[in-house]
Amino acid sequence: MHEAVSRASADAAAQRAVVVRVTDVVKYFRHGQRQLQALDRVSFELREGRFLVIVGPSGCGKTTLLRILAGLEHQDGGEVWMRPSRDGHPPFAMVFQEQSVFPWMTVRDNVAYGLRLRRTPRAVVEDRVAHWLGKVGLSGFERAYPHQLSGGMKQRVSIARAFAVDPDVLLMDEPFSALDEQTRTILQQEVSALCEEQQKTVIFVTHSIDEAITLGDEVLVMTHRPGRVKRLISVPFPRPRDVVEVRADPRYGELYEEIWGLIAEEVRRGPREG
Amino acid sequence: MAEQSVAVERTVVQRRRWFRRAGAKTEAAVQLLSPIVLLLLWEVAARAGWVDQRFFPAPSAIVRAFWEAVTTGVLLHHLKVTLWRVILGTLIGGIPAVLIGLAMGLWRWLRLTLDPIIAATYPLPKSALFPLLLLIFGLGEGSKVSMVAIGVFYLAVTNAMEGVLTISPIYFDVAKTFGAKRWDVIRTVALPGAMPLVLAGLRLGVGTGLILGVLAEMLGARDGLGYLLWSAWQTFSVSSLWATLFVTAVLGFVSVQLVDFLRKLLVPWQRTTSRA
Repeated sequence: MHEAVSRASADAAAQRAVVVRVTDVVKYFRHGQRQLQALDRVSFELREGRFLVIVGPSGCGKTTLLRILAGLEHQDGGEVWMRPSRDGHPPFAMVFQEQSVFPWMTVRDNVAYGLRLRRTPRAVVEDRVAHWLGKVGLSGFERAYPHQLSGGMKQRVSIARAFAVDPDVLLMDEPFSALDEQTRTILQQEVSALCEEQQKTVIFVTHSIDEAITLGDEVLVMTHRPGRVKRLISVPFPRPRDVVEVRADPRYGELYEEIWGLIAEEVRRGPREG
Repeated sequence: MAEQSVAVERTVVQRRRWFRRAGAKTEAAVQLLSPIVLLLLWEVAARAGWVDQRFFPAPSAIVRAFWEAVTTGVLLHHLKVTLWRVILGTLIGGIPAVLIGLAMGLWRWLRLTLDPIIAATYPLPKSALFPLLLLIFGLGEGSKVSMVAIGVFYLAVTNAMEGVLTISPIYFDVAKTFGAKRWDVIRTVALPGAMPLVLAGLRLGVGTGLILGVLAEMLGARDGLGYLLWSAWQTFSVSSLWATLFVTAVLGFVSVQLVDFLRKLLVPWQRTTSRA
């Protein structure tokens, strides 16, 4: 059943420590009288520094899986394990799909949010906030409120907020889906570079096959509801990687076709929406 | 790459601000001009005898009556009395209302307990309560102040509760993923997130409180703007009736402006003008 899960990526990364392990996770949702199964025995593991992208037809439970990993939902069966951080704080940070930047805080306070919750000394907070605002190109916007920023800039704040707490694992739930194509490409480029530079372990949920191939080291394709692991695919492009160059590589087209084939199969199998 | 995209986004933001400002100036001019034009028409109509001067004296006559009431100190005395009642009533009704409303938004069980009581008593015309309040508090300050307080309370409590309940769940999720404890969530998400509606509730509440306060003064008081209005009717001094009406309107306007000022202080993120 889980042949796809079995170490599909037997490359150099195999020696690195496992950071995330998901074992036979099952999740149900009550829908009025009926019970809908959202996830069915999902298993995978992720080694340090790897970028995993989860794709699947809409409603396949990929966001639910990410929310379980973030502790926002609880599974009805199976286990989720994440390597604890050294300081006892959550070992992950999450970047959300919609506008999740607090509208009542300035850009600076938003980025400082996680650090202040951890009672980080003020001077350290200031340093780190300045550092990360610089990294995402928002220096000079410290005192701005989110309503004064464009959608892309807000998502930059959200990214800086997550990186600022220096998490081992980054959970990203379709962070670029609401952005226009140019802004999205630029942000993909930057996030890809940041994750390489910071050696982050990333779990990234998207419905975009293109995003999966350009960003991921591994792509996990899920089935239609109830979501199962359909296949785990290794992306051959080395890092550091240029998001736009990757798209010109002939292997990109092959991968796209392969993943599209898998998803199309699931979309056809699933019941019609509505 | 990053700099380039930010630069593009920055010009977009600036253009939007400029547009908003140019529009605001024209709007302010229109808002200032329309009452002046109305007053001029009224003056002309009164002098020409198009309207009955017994009910609608010319604005100039009203100004004269107003000036007389000001110089004798009568108006100021009654204004102070009403102002004090409105302030006291707003504090007495508003502070518990905001605290209870926020708590109701935060704790489901409290909401389930209190919501039916509030929902059942809300539709009752508050003015109908005045005889009861007179019975309880007598003709002193208590009956008037409590009337204002009741008016403020209902609007403030429901809005504060809605303020918490309408916060997008994603903000609570963000707080949780960063390891926020219960009090952290209240402090960083629930309270600031509810603030816009808390102040909207207070704004409406102060307006209603003023209405009820003046009404109570008409029915059972020996001072205050409501009393002044009522005695102006009884002595048929129409000009001073109009003058008092004007002062009451200004009081209403100023108190709402005060709440708006408070809103700008407490909800700076909603400011439409730039902070550049």
